[in-house]
Formats: sequence, C-alpha cells, structure tokens
Amino acid sequence: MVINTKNLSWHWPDQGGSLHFPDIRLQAGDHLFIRGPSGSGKSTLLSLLSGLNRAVDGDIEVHGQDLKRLGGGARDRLRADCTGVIFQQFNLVPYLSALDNVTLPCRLSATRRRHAGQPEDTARRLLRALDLPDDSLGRKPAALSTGQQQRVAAARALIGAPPLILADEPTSALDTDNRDRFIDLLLARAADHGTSVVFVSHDPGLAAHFPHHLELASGGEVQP
Amino acid sequence: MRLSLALSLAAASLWHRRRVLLLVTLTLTLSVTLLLGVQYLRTEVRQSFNLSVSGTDLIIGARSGELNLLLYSVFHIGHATNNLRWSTFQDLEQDPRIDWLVPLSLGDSYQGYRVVGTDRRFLERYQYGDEQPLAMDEGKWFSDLFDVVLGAQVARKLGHNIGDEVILSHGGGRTSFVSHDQHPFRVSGILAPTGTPVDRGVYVSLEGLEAIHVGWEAGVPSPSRTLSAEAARDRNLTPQTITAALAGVERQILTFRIQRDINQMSAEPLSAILPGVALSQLWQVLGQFEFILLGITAFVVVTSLAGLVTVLLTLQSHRHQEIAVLRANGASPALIAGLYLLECTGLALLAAALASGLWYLAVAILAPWLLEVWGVAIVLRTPTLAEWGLLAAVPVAGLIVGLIPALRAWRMGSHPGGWGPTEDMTN
Repeated sequence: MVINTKNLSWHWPDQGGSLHFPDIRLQAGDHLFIRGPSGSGKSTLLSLLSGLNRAVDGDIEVHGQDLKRLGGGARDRLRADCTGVIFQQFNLVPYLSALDNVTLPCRLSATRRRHAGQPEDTARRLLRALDLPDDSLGRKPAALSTGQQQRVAAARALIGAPPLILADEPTSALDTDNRDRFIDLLLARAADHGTSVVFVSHDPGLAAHFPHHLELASGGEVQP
Repeated sequence: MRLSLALSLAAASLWHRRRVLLLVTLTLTLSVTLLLGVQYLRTEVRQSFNLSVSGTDLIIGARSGELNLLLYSVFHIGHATNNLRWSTFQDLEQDPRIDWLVPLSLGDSYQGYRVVGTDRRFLERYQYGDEQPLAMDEGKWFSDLFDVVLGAQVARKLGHNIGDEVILSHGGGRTSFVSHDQHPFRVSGILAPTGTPVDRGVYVSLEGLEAIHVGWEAGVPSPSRTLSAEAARDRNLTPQTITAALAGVERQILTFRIQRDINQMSAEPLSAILPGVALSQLWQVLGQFEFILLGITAFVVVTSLAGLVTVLLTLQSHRHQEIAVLRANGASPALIAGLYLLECTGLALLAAALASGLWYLAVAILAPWLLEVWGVAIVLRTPTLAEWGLLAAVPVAGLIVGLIPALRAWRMGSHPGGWGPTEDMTN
C-alpha cells in the first residue's frame, strides 16, 4: 500500500474554511487520476501526500509511514527517498543544467542514488527515453522549451525509482499532442520500476490513461 | 554530503547570477581593500615612525623634557633649550660602558631643512628600521671643511647634484635673513632614501659649522672678526658646544644605569632618554587620528555589506520557485538557509581574497615609487595578526549578514502550505 488515507481534512491556519478529502487506497504500481475543478484542494491534497504539509484531521499513511506522527525533517527525508514530484510549471532549478536537475534527487537522497546506479548514466538514459535531444542535456532550463522542461522534470521524478510520483497538472502548459505523449512516456517509464503515479488535473480528457479515478467535489466540502 | 551539495549548489547559483553580483562584489572588494590598506599603512607608518631611529640606546642632550629632546634631535622640530659642552661629550667618550657616540650640532638651516653638524660616525652608527644602516646614494660622505651631504628628500626637492654650491642660512626657518654667503658649501654626497627624518637633513662637519660661525657671537656677523674660507682652514675649529649626542651601549643591561648616571651628572645638567620609549609616547599623541581613519573605513565595509545583502534579498524575491523545487525534492529548510548563508559568505570571502591580492599587488608596484618620491617607506610583508583578523572578519561579517536572507529562505521553505512554485494552494 503506497497511500492509505481516511477522513483526511485540512483547514488553513488563519482562515475558517476547511477541506475534506475522499479516502484513498493506492496499491504499489497502481496509477491514480484525481480530477477536480479549481479550488477543490488538489494541490493541498498533494502537499499533504508529499509531506510538505501536515494533515490536521484524519489518518494519512504514505509508504507505510504515518505522516502525522513524523516530524518535518523525517517527512523531508521520506519525500527525498520515496517520492518524485512534478509541478505544473517552473519545475527546474534555474542554475543547474538539465542533466544536473535530473540527478538532483540522487544528491539529496542516498536511497535514490543507490537505486539509480550511476546517476549521470541513468539520467541520460531517462532523458533519451523521454525524447529529449542529446544536445540539450547541458543546457540551462531557460534554454529549453516548456515541453522539454516538463520532460526533464519527469526524468527527475523517475530517477532512483521512487515508489510514488506526485504530478500536479504537469501537462497544463502543453498542447494536446505533447500532452498525451508526455503521459504515455511517464507511465511507461514508471511501469519499469513499478512506480505509482498520482496524476492531478482538471482535464477529464486525460482520465482514459489511468485505471483508477477520483473526483474532488467543487470547492471541496468547505464549511464556514 | 549535505555540505558538499550546498557548496556546489551555492557555487552554481552564484555563477548563474554572476552579472548582477559582479558589481556588488567589486564594491565590497574595493572597500575591503581600503580597510586592509588603512590597517596595513597604519602598521607601516607606526613601524617606520617608531623605528625612525634604531640601534641607538640613548639620546643625550641638555636637561629638558623627553619629547622635546627627541623632537629636536631626531625629527628636527623645535629647539634645544641649552647646549652640551664639548668637554662633557669627550668625558662620555671615555666612559667604557658606552660603545659609541655620535655628536649632533643643530641650529642652522638650508632652505627650511635643518643643518646637522656631525662627523663620520653619523653615517656609520645611525640606524633606522630593522637596524638598517645609512647608505650613500651618490658621492661620498663629507671630508673637506666645506663639504655638505644632503638627505634624499632635500636633494630631490631642491634638485641638487654632486658638486652643487650650497649657501646655509643662519638659524632655523625657511626665510632666514642672515645667510652664510661668505662660506659656500659644496655637495659631496647624497644619502639614499630611508623614509625617516634623515631624508630631510643637511649634513656638514662640526668644524665646518664652527668655521662659518667665527665672529658670529652676537648672532650677526661682525665684519672684522669673521674668517675667510682660507683662513678658517688654518684655525683650530674644535667646537665648544654641541646640541645632542646619540649613544650606543655595549651591554644593553647597563642602559638604565648609564641613563641615571647621565641624568645625575654633576658637570652640567643633562638628560638622557631611551628613544624607543620616547617614540612610542609621541606616537600615542600623534596616533589618535589613525584610529578614527580605521573606524571610518570599517563603516565603508559595513555599507558595502549592506549593499550585498540588499542585492541578495532582491534576488531572493525571484527565488520562490527554486526553493519550492528544492523542497519538493526533499531538501530541508536548513539546507536552503545554508545555501543562502554560503552564497553570502562565499561572496565576502571572494571579496576578501581579491582585496588582499589587489592590495599586495599595489604595494609591490608602488612601494619603490612611494619611497623615492614621497619618502614613505612601505615594505612588502606578510599580514600581521590584526590584518589577518580584519580579512577573516569580512567573511564572518558576510556570514552574519547572510543570516537575514537565510532566515527568510528558511521561513519560505518551512512555511505551511508551501506547495509548488505558485503561492496559491487551491488551484
């Protein structure tokens, strides 16, 4: 079980509103598509699953660990070791080359490094598999197209074979062709090591790529 | 592993922003160069001042204050209250405890520079700095009655060469109305520059001084009694009095004993001073300004550091994205704060290194010129403890001011709800 949540909810510290999330049970290697309109708390859910935020109520277990009982440092280490993250945009460290961006998780986590073998070779292989041209490996993010940047981010999430990848609308800046291609490549590479992908989007057209679906209600269940 | 990661990230980040950071680093470098320079010069000037005379154990003159005796005998400032009898000088020469003596006779001037009547022992015994002896730059030490040897600065300022004719003025001051124009002197040699008051002296023999003053007992020449240059050569020109004497003691341990004996001498009231002690007393009076200068310079450095932090904070506002990415990949808030600390410290360290390089290059290039043209002796040397301290203080200050952006980064990193590069969590 990669993710197991029950009665998970969140409310902002300085506001009255709160969000309640449906229960999630995700087996290792399974992929989950979470759809919801703006304001439904998609990003909040991902931040809780990644351990960047701490849940307020309910149970949340990721990689078999009770995230509510882990401190900030332990959650950071768990994320470094076991979770890859892809944002909507601006995924890359601007002063590192594409290749260095991909190998970054191996420098932050000994586990990912061990799984990656030779990080640089693995990064090259992943980038090649994701159709990134060889001559762009040394380039800084500013010299890459948006589509290329997202594929570099995907390679970074994949390197070191983490059990889970959290993707937050990674295709929203891509056109339809690129979008489908990106998802196919991501899922194919994830399947190589049995990595689970949680993919969040407002676009129902992407749901067909995923076996499991979850719908977040509009506005969550905001209670005043 | 974490430190090496933070170091390599910091280096990459600085290199990425090199264009913006170049100017602010340059500003910091220049201000640190200034700070180092002021401290270096401070040490050098004090050193060179305190070693205006070295190797001399005692300065002996008529009874007066310590500083007064030092000022007129070494720095040619002010006047002696009284003279020292030649017979007393000869008595001192007989003292077996005293190794050597150099007579000094002051009073006249040449174009505002003091004339010092002495003998060959001055060239041989006077030492400055790190026991450096005097040396002739051109020509020879005086041998004729009317020979004169010029200090380096006198010769350079007045454009004199060997063989030039020189007319001394009676009494001190730049504008003396009575000159010894009956007895012109000839330049026989020029001393090498020392960066001490020696450079501003005009040296003649005691006999030469005596010769030009025969018939001047009233302070002005009485025509019937003055000597022609030729007649002077036949006279016994042993001086009656001199102004002061420099003494070297064979066994240093006896210095205080000899000083006390001279101070209590019954033949005439004398004072003997230890030049080192008097020099450091004088420096305490003169040296106040240098401290203020150092303080002002430190403020310049603080200003530059403030500029550095301003730039880093401005850059930081564009770095939300980078922090979010690093956090998402498992970097701890501490690592991100460390990144900022390293960047700030690294820049300060770079500035300190560049500043030392710049300063030493400047000293290496300019030192000979400074001594030649300005009579300021600056030696290329390894930094003193204080200078190392200053240089080390710069990165430490960088570390401290780096805490400001680092704390901000730490807060940004550990801020609840920090998901993704966009601040808004709900989209």
